[in-house]
Amino acid sequence: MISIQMSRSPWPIRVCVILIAAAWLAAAAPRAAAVDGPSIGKTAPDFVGTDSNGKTVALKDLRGHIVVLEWSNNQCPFVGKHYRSGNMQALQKEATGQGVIWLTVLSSAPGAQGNVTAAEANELTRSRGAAPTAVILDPSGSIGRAYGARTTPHMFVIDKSGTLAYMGGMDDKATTDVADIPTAKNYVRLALTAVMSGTPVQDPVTRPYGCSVKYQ
Amino acid sequence: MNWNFEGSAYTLAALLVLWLGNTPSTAAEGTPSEPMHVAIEALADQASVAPGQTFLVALVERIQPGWHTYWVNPGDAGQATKLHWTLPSGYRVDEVQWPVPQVFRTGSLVTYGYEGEVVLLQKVHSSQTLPSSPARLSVEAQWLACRDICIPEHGAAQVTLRAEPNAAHSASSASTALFAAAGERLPRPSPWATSLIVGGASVDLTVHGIAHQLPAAAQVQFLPLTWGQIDSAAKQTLVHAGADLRLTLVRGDLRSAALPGLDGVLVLGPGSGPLQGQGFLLHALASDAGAPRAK
Repeated sequence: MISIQMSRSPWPIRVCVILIAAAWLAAAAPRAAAVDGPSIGKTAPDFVGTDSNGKTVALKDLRGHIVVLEWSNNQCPFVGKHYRSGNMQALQKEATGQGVIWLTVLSSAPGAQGNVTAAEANELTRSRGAAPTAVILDPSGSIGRAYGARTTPHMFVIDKSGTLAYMGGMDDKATTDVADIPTAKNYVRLALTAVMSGTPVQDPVTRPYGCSVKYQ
Repeated sequence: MNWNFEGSAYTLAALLVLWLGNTPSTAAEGTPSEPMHVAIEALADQASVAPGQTFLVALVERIQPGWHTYWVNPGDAGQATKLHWTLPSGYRVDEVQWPVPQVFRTGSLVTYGYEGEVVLLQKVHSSQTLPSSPARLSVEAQWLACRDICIPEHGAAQVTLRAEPNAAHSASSASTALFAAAGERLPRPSPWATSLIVGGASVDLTVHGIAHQLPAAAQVQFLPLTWGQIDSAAKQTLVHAGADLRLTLVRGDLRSAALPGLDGVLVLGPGSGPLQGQGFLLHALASDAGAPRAK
């Protein structure tokens, strides 16, 4: 339909207008309704995933346990901050030591940064001294999208009844600097402590900071 | 022990950068020895400074093609550039004046930032008594450069101004054109009153009287200044109602919290006529009745 009058107008202008309009429309295109995404106080979106050992992990089967979801991409510098420092591993050990199920979720698409094989995922866990209960491979991004996971890291805490108790950043220092960790307010630890003691989470929603999740 | 995998990733990133033809540099995570994807420069709009003056300093980011840095609200991911000026005694600096950003959509994520060249302006005030020695103004900058991957970088730059005994002798700098162009890219104060009705899942932001200056087919986007109030990636519904423009915006992650007001930049896109490309700072206060309020 555009081509009909093209001879009346110089190509480049038309093309530019079309491209600009297309870019603008694309920018305004909706995201799969965030309103349907995770909400504090509501049941956390259900999922069934496969972990790096080939086991099926269904959130519904984990009722009765506090569950942490950690979106990760081992090559993202914000993730690197929390692993090089041992910050993430320490919290994983602390939490799982108290019966928390900790699921690290990898939603990087095939070929994208942070996409690893099951064997590589296990090697990362070993070499970094990480202690998640399981690493879920989510290359299609379906679990990530269900949670509206946007960054690595992006953290979620689900209580024993399956209700979402926390979503957001690891802490309040949105940097890649390891030196910021000792003085940072670790929102995930605070949320876990509150959920374990049955008290309200003080900061149930915070800004997740990091690299974008490398979705398909 | 936990270095190997990441180390190799960053070596690869560094090799890629070298292959792309940038200056040799290390890509050590968080601590590059020199900038790789962004070159920075510090400038002032005056070559000299006298007591009791207000002038502008600028941190210029020259960003490699394909890469971008971030606005004060980076959106769904990323991190805004951080500037820390170190000034001699007798000087103080205001906040960064952020230019209207571009909107980047990557799949389901939307971020706000800059490509090419961006100039971050800040006002500097000199006190009534200044030393007679030249004023050396230094800035340390940290930014996140992203393409499909992100690399934290940092750098430092300086600008030195001669001291003048009185303002009549202070000279403009050679960068006048750059400062004028940077000023053009800043969002303007809104000439329109606004009102805001806050619902649980969405908000209605009404810009009163704007239709007198805006064609009905104009495409308009609201970019929130702070994270969490508005879902960056959600569709923004525009309704022209008489002289008013009403935007229905989906609330962001903080939708369960009270929203007393909304600050952001209204960017006028294609079809906006003479105003196309301009951004206007909106400060809307929530009202139950939705009656117009002073902006």
